[in-house]
Amino acid sequence: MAQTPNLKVTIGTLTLPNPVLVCSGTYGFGEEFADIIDITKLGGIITKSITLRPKKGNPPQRIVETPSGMLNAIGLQNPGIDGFIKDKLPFLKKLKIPVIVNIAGDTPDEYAELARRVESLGVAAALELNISCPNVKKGGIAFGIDPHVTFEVVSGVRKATRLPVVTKLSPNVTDIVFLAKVAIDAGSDALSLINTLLGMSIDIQKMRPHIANITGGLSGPAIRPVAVRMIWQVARTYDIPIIGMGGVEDAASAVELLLAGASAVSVGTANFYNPRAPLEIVDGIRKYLVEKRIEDVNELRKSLKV
Amino acid sequence: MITQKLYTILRNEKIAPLYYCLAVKAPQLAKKALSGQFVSLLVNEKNLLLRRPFGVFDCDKDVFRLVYKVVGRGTAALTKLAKGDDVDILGLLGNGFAVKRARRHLIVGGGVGISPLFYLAKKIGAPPDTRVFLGGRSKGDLICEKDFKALGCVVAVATEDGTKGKKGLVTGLLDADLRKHGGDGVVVYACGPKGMLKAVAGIAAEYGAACQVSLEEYMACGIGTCMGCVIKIRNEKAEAGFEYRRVCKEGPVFSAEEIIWD
Ligand SMILES: Cc1cc2nc3c(=O)[nH]c(=O)nc-3n(C[C@H](O)[C@H](O)[C@H](O)COP(=O)(O)OP(=O)(O)OC[C@H]3O[C@@H](n4cnc5c(N)ncnc54)[C@H](O)[C@@H]3O)c2cc1C
Ligand SMILES: Cc1cc2nc3c(=O)[nH]c(=O)nc-3n(C[C@H](O)[C@H](O)[C@H](O)COP(=O)(O)O)c2cc1C
Ligand code: FES
Repeated sequence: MAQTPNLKVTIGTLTLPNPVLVCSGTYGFGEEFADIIDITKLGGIITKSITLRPKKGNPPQRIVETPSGMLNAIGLQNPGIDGFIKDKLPFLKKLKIPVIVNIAGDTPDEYAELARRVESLGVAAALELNISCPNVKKGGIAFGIDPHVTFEVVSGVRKATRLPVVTKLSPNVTDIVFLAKVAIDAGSDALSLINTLLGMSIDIQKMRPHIANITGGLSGPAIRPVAVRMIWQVARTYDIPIIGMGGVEDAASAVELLLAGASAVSVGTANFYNPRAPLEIVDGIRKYLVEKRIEDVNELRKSLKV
Repeated sequence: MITQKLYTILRNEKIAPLYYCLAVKAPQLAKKALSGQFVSLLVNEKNLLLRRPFGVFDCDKDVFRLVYKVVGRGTAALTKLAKGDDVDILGLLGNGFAVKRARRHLIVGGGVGISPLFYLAKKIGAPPDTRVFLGGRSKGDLICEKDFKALGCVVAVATEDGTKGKKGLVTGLLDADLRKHGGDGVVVYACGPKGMLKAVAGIAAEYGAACQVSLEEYMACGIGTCMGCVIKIRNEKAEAGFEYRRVCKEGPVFSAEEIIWD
């Protein structure tokens, strides 16, 4: 019995040293956390969504804590691709772990252009498409809840790049399996599941929503059961690598998503309250595999008994 | 350097109704802390996730202190911590006050914003022309008054209900001082509720005094990655003349004239 189980996983053509990533929007571009933990021990990092032009973001208050979770309406504040190249690229280039660059556009064409430009930088191991952001052309409705637009975005990016394409699906849909099919048919190599769930919370003293944007995206352990369910529904239907995310905070929750069918997991909100969480999860998964006498983490996604 | 570490609690005692002082043995924090910086604490309370941010109150050799007011479930849970317990602290976060040479230093604190100014007063060293103005709703909010006095600071207080000091707002004390002594060569340092800071910034500007304010915003990460804690900062080059900057990373201390108050 091997005492050091295999932790390497593959997401399409991308190989990760271990199955623990960190989520877009919760890790910036890696620098801040590099001060606190050894980020080279991560399976990889997924960077904050970048857009063609810099984005100012939403007015504050942007976040509020909710039971076992939080709402955010950041509004994609980011330096834009040029700011990314100028200020963030040098650090990412030196990083010895896979960097998955998350992109977001106002139109399908912008996604394709971003894909081309990011590929040319030579830093991205893969692209993650944030299609939960508002579609400017269609009155701000998220790309990811409209199957036609989802197809248009993903197929456009597919044609524009040879990088592995990971489509990050919005959970704010009735039939996640159908949206998964659309992304797969459009040429997506893998899926990220899930983005935040649309939510709202009210300050009863001020009789106003806590968040200036009124609604926000719910994340954290509160959404984990939704993530587990959606990963399971997609994984049992399609043979596609899934990066599971949504409330992963320790090894137990990570293993739960792997058992549901994810090939890797990504830690988001938990980084805020426990910067050590992703590294503790790598160790914890290893321990779990040893205990269960499982030699390869890739076996987990086929191990669920139903 | 930011570290996440467990520290042992030395004391956690009530210093006024609703206000507590927490002391931990934390040489790393105590040696490096700058006045105006903050730390964030993990609260062990059911369903609560996010860390709670608190300013540096005082440091002394190995001991790091902060003062907190009980305002909700997280701070209520903190009161249950006892000597010998461990607490998970992330710090040091943000940038401190910039203490420059000045003719006069005026320190203005409101309520829970008073405690982060104590370490500043200690650093300034209470030269003769340093004045401390403290305000609060009621006399119970005038925390740390005797600590400032022990440093040798001249302290004036105001309460909204008149239970101690001058009846009214602390900004009234600042205004009266600047009117009498002028704003030339004066640095005003302020921490407190946003409304108070806005008024302080306005008064300082009126008399031509430099002004640094320490702000609070709702925070998730505390280290600059979530973009949750932003405020409007003037930037002529940016669209609409402003950009959003992070209180946790570029702040919490800002030069008052940079801020666009809503
Ligand atoms: C940089 C910084 C320094 C701070 N320094 C101190 C300090 O030295 N002493 C102190 O007592 N408090 C300080 N605060 C405020 C303190 O963090 C909040 O009072 C605390 O997080 C509330 O936690 P809770 O669970 O008790 O309240 P909750 O139940 O979370 O909230 C109760 C009330 O507090 C408000 N609140 C919650 N979090 C914050 C926040 N981050 N900023 C402002 N208001 C908030 C909520 O809107 C609500 O009205 C600071 C905040 C920041 C951002
Ligand atoms: C503050 C914050 C900002 C986020 N920003 C982005 C983003 O820019 N792009 C994106 O695709 N997802 C973003 N997300 C979603 C996360 O990547 C992740 O899908 C979600 O939070 C669920 O994981 P969690 O429960 O572990 O946080 C953000 C989440 C949070 C909490
Ligand atoms: S609290 Fe996350 S950026 Fe400031």
